[in-house]
Amino acid sequence: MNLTMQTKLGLQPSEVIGCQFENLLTIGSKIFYQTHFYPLIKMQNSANEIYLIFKGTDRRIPVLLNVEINRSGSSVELICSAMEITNRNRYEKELIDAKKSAEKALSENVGLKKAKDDLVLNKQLLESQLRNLKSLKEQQQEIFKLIAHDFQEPLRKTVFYSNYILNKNVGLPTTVVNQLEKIKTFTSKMRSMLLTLLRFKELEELELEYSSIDLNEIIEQATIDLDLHNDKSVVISYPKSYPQFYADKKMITRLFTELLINSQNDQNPDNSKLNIEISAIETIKNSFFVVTDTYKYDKFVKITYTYNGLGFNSKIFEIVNISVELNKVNLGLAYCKEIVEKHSGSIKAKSVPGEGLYYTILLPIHKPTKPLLH
Amino acid sequence: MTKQEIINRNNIQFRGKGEKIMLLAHGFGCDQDMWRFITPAFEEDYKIVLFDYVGCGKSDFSAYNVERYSVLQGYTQDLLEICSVLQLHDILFIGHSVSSMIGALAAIEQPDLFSKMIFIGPSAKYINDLDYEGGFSQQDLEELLAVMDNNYLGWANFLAPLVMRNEDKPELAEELEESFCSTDPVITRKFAEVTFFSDNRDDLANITQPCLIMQCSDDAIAPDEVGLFVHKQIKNSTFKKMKATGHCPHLSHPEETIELIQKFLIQPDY
Repeated sequence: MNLTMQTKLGLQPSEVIGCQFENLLTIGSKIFYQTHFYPLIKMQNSANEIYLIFKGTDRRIPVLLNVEINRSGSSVELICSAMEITNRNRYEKELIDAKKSAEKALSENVGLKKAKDDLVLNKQLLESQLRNLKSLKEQQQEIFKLIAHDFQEPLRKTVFYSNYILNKNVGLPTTVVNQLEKIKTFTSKMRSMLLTLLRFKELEELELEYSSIDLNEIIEQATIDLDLHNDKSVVISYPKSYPQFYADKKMITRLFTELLINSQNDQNPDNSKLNIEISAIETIKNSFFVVTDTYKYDKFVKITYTYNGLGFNSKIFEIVNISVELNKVNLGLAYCKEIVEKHSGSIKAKSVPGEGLYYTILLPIHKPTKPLLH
Repeated sequence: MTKQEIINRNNIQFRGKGEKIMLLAHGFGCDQDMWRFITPAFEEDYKIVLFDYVGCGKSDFSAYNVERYSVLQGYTQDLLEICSVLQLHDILFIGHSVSSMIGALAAIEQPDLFSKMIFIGPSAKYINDLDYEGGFSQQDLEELLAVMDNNYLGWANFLAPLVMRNEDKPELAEELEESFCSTDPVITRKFAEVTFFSDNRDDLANITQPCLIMQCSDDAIAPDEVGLFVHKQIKNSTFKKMKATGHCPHLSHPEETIELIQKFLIQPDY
């Protein structure tokens, strides 16, 4: 190190030997040195016009640095030449500030123009989607009206006439009686399926009431509702810690009730006990699940629900089919999916044969600020 | 996204003839070239997957999206997309510097994809807090950003028209490739903000995989206390203090780096 440099840095000749180069730099420059400068000279054996700031005796000394590596035999020599640029640095600073404001203006301008174009496109898209949705909704209303009234009536009459035949014709052959009973059973089943669909429809219309959720309390309530809390064959491990989040308390309790019922129905006969493990962590996710190339990161609670059941070889999309097919008294997993999606969340299921089922439920931590588009 | 699309986007390269997957993630300020002294030692036993984050190295810069990469989770998304499109499983992940946290977030999001994690010079938060020593003050890091601004002064880069960038000045791009590990200055500047102002302290406890923390001596960027904090928060972690100094042991002390990785890999799963 030459004398000029030593004086500027306030170093005695004895201090120079063994001194680490990076320790002469200000902290910001030290990071830059470690993350950029060092890898660069290591890979390319030289670096030119690198801007770094040295810690001077009474002030910081900005320099431009050139470095060459000289390898002779086993020794490696680094030759650095530095040029102090305090005055130029002031000028550069002005340039950078000007560049930044220009960049900001440009990016805002370009950003605005792009946003405007996107908006027009999206409005058109929205228009056509709303039109489709409207006609779909109207169709759906008609169908549900049919289900609620028009379908129920003939079914009720079928049961009525079956009973009528049975009561008015004493001494019918047993086979005929049995067949009539079968007609009655199938018809009742059909009626309860229709009711199930109606209840599903009610859920869709429901307005959520947001409040702060205590997950353990919710799970406990669900076990009490199902009378599971004294059941020794069901072992539930609660989350040890979990983030607070906002949701509809009744609906989330319902979600866990449905999950628990489903786990019971899906119990593996090989296991003496039903083990359910629930955990929850906070995570940050893009809140746009469907729209691509759009990002808004929000906090979510990620709930993992695992149990040692039989499982199934399908994905969540098929869950709806399964639960309708089996027509359990409860609405099952389709209901869960609807509850989660009403909260702008998502639910995924994964089945590992021999191990059980894993549900991953994502729910936003905060309640939505704007009313959701219906 | 197709396989070819993601290979182009993240400049994915494969090395080695093994079966088991080793995924190497470079740190802030550089690209996959950083691993070149490390990879030969594992080519026999592993299928090594190398990549550049969008905006680094030879990745597709036009895929950069300011909003997406405004938090580390955007980079985590890169990582998870690579795993999903290439159908990688049972992954041994090695991340340098900020990639430790990017990898950690990926391992928390999809725990079944990753079998073991190795973090080189990790830090969960760089800025000091009330009861936490990150190593830097807000001011220190603002100065870093200023130093970067000064070093990139010559580059006529504007963030907004990123996609059509430098079309009128191809010589700039060429020149750029020769310096700073061919990293885009504007993106790198943003990456610096995302990296140094992030706080992942609460996430660490959610990591379930066995982890190795490799701590350099005299690391100005991730000092001992920071590495020890990471170790303390991750239940299943091993802490190894290295003789290597600085922040890039895989460049400066590849032998020691390789040895520690190998030792960790032969440890039985627990």
